[in-house]
Amino acid sequence: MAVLPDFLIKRVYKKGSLRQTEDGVEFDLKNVLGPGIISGLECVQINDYIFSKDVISFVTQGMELAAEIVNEKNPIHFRLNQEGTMKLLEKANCLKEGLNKIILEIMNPEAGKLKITLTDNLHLS
Amino acid sequence: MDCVFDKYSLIIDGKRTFIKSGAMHYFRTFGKKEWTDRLQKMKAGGYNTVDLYFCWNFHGIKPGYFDFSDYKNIKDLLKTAADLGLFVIARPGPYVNAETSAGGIPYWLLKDKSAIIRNRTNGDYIYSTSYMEALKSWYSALLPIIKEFDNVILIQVENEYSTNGGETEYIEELVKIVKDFGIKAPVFHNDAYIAGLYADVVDMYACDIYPYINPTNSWKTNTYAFDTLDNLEEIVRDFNDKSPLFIAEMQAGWYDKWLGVGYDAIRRDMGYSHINIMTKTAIANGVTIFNHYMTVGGTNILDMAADEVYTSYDFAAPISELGAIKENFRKAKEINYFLDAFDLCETEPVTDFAAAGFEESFETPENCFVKIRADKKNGCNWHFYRNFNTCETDINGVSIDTFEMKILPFNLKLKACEIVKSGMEIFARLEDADVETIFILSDYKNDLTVKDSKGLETVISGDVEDFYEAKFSDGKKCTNLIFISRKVANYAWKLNNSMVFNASFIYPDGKIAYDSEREIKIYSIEKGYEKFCAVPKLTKKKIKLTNFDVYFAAPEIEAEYDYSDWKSVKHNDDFTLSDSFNSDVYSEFVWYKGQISAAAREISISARHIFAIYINGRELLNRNSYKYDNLIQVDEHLSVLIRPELLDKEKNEITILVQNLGFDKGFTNDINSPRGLIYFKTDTEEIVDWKIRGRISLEKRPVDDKQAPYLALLENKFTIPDAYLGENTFAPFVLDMDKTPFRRVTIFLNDVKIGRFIRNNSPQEKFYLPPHFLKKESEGENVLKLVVWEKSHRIKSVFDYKNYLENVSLKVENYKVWEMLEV
Repeated sequence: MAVLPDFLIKRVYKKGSLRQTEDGVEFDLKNVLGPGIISGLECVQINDYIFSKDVISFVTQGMELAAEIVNEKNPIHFRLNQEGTMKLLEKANCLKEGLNKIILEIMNPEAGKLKITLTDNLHLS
Repeated sequence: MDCVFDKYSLIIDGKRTFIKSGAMHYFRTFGKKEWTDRLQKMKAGGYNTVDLYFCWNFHGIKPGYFDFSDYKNIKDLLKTAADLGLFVIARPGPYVNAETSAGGIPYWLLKDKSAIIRNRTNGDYIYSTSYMEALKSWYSALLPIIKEFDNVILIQVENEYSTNGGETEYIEELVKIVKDFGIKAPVFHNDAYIAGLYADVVDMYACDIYPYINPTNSWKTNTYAFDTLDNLEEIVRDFNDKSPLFIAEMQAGWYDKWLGVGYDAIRRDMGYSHINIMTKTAIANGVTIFNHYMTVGGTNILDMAADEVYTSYDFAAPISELGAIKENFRKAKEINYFLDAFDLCETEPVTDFAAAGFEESFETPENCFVKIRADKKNGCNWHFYRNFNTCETDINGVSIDTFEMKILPFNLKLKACEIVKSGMEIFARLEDADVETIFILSDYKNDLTVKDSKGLETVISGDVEDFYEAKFSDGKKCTNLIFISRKVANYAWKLNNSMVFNASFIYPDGKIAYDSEREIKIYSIEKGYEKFCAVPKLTKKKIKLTNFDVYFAAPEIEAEYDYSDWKSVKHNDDFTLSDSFNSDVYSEFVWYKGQISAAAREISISARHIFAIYINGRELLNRNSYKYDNLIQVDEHLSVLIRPELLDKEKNEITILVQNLGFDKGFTNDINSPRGLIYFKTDTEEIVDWKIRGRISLEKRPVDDKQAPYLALLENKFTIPDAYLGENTFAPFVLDMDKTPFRRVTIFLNDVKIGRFIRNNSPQEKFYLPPHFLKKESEGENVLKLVVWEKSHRIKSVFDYKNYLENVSLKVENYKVWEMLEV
C-alpha cells in the first residue's frame, strides 16, 4: 500500500457531498492535488456496506465511466482542479445520521493500490 | 558565504543569484578524477551549483563507523566543487531515496527492532528515540565536514517526507540539529506533493516536479502531467510568499528498472524537448532556483541499488553514465547561458496581455502555454510561448514548432540598441565595458525587430547564414548581434569571455575536447575569430578477451560440503522462514542448506529475488522470481516436482542459493521487506533444520573437477595503455556482454563489484568500467572476474557448458575517445 499522506488525499473529497439518490449513493471529488491517473476503481465501502466494481461509475467532464472498463490501458486522467462524481448504482441503505465512513480503493500505475479513507457528517432529516 | 533570500531569489554575498543546479550522485560516479570531469562539464555548461545527496549507507557500514576514504572522500568532492567555483546544495538525508537500497538507510539500522525508520510506520508518525540517536551519529559525522565549505548555499533535511497526520516535530528537530551544528545556509525540505508540507517549519519552501514517470507512455501524449508545473507560481504562492520559487528536483531524465524499456528509449522519448519545456515553464512561473535531477548519470556498484534498478543509472541525464554530453545537456547549456546573459532573478507575472503588445482579441491557442514576466532589472518583458500541438502553431505572430518552447525578449534595452520584439531566442552574451556581443539563435520562420540609438527600427529575418552579424553603435557603445543556428549552438561553449565553436565539450580551465579532425573557432570581442586545427592521435581501443581462466566455484552446492558451522535459521510451523536479514545474514548471495527425506516429491517455495535449488549437488531449478504487481513487489510461490533420481539417499541434502538485489527504496512502501528464502514446504510437510550463510566463496577449482559447473568463475587480465587514461584524454571504457552465452553474471573489476548482468531482465548489455577502478598499463594489469550462475537455456549438457566457458570471447572497448586541445 502506498504512503500518500491521508490529510492530503482527503482534500480530493468534497465535504458534504455524500448523498442518497434514486439509483443508489453518490459523492463528489475534486482533484486539488495535481495531475493523476486512476487505472482502476476497485471498490467503495460506505460504513459497513461494500459496493463492488460492477456498480461503480465515475462521471467527469460529461462522461460516465464504468469502473469495470477502467484499467491501465484505459485509465481516467484526473487533471488538476478536475471534478467528478462517484456513482454507486445499488440501492443500499448504508448512509446514517452523523459521521459516515467512506473507503475508496483505487489503482494508480505508479503508486499501486491506494486506499483512501474519508469521513462525512450527514444530517439526514 | 552570506546567503539570504527574499521572495524573488537567493542573495549570496549581497548579490541576487539565479541558481542553476544539477544533481550528481558521487556514490555512483567514483573518485576525484571522475568528479572533476563531471563538475567541469557542468560548469562549462553554465550550471553554477551542484546538488549532492549524502548517502548514509555508503559511508555508515556499521554502527558508529563512517568511511570517508578513497572514492568516499566527500572532502575531496566538496573541495573539487569549491575549486571550480560551484555552489553546493547539500542533502544529507537521512533518507535520500535516489533508487538506492533502503533509500540510503544503513542496513544495520533496519535490523534494530527498536528503531522506527523515519519515525513512520504505514504513514503514521511514531517518534523513535533509537532511530533519532542513529541519525544524530550520521549528522555528527557529516555536518562538520559540510560546515567546512562555505560554498554550501542550501541544505535539505529529510527527503520527500510526509506522514498521514502531517506532524512537524521530526522536521523541526532536524532543522534544529543542522542549525546547532552552526550551519548558516538556509534549510529546506522538498515537498513531493507540492502541498506546502513543512513550509512553515523550514527556512525555504521547495518542491519536486516529475511530470514523466512512466516511460511506457510518451510524455507527449500525457501533457496534462504538466498541470502542476504550469500553475506552480499560483499553487506555491498560496502557502509561501516569503521565499523564492524553488524546485529542489526538477525532472531532467528518468530511471529505468529491471524489465524496463531501456535508457535509449527514454532518451529518444525525452529528447531535448522535455528539459527545454520543464526548465522554461519553471522560469515562466518565476522559479529562480532549479535543480535538474539528474544532470549526471551514474553506475550502481557494490550493493548500492534498490531492488528495482539495474546497474546503469544513466537516468537519460544530460551527462550520461559514461560522462558523454547528450542533447538534453546542450539544451540545458543553451538555457543556462541565456540566464547568465540576462538576470531573471526579479520578475513578476504580467496579466494584462494587451498592455504587453498582444492584440485585444488574443486567445492562447489550444494546447499552448503563454506567460509574460516583467523583468525589473532589465526593464523588459520576457514572453514564454509553448506549443504542445503536434504541428507548428502561431502564437502572437511567432511560429512555434511542435513541442517547442521559447523565451523571447520584448523591449530589451542593450548597450547600443533595443530588441523591440523577437521570435528568436538569445543564446549567450559576451561583454566588455562598452561592447557586447549577443548570440541569437536564428530561426528561419521568425524574425527580430531592433531599434537603433536613433530610433530607427530594422527587421532582421531569421533566415540568415550562420555567423551573420548585425552591428549597432551609439558612438560610444557597441552591440553586435551574431546569429547562429541551433546546430552551431549545440557545439558552442562559453569559455571565460569568449565563445568556442565546434567543440565536443570544454573544461573551464581552457581545454577543448574533440573526437574527430576539425577546425575549432574561438570568438572574443577583443580578437574576433581565431582558428585552431584539432587532429586526433588516438583511435578507439578494442581489447578482445579470450582464453579465460575458468574455475568452478561454489563448493557449497556439493553434497559432502561441511556446513556445520553455519548459522541456524528457524523453519516455522507454517513453513515460513525467518528472513536472511533477521538471521544476521545480509549479502547479495545467501546459501541455505538442509536435508529432506527421499519421500518428498514436490517443493513449494518463495524466495527473493533470484534462486536456485540443488539436491545432492544437482540442480533442480534456477529461477528469476523478480515480480511486480502494480509496482508492489509480490511473493512468487512456485511449486516444482522433484525428479525421483535426485533423491538417492535416505536423507538428501538440499542447497538453495538466493540472490538478493537490494532493499526497496522505501518511497511508497516500508523498506524492511523480507529477503532470502521466505517459504519452503515439501509435500511431505517436513520442517527442515536449515543452516544459512552469506556470500559465495568463489573457491577456484579446475575445469575437470567432478562438480557440475553450476557456478563458474571466469578470470581474465587486460591492460589499458596510459594514454587512454591520461590527463588530456577522455575515453570511457565499457565491457560488452552482448555476445556471451550467459543469462546471469556478477561482474568484478579489480575485485570491485561493478555490475549485474541478467539477460532479458534488463536491456543493459554494456557495463561501464569506472576509471577509478581501472589501472593504466604503468600501474599493472586489470583483473576482470565474472561469476556466472546461469547459462543459456540453449546449452544442454555440462560438457557443452564447460566448452562454452572455455571459449567465451568478450570485448572491452572505448565508447568514444575525446582528446584535448589546450588554448
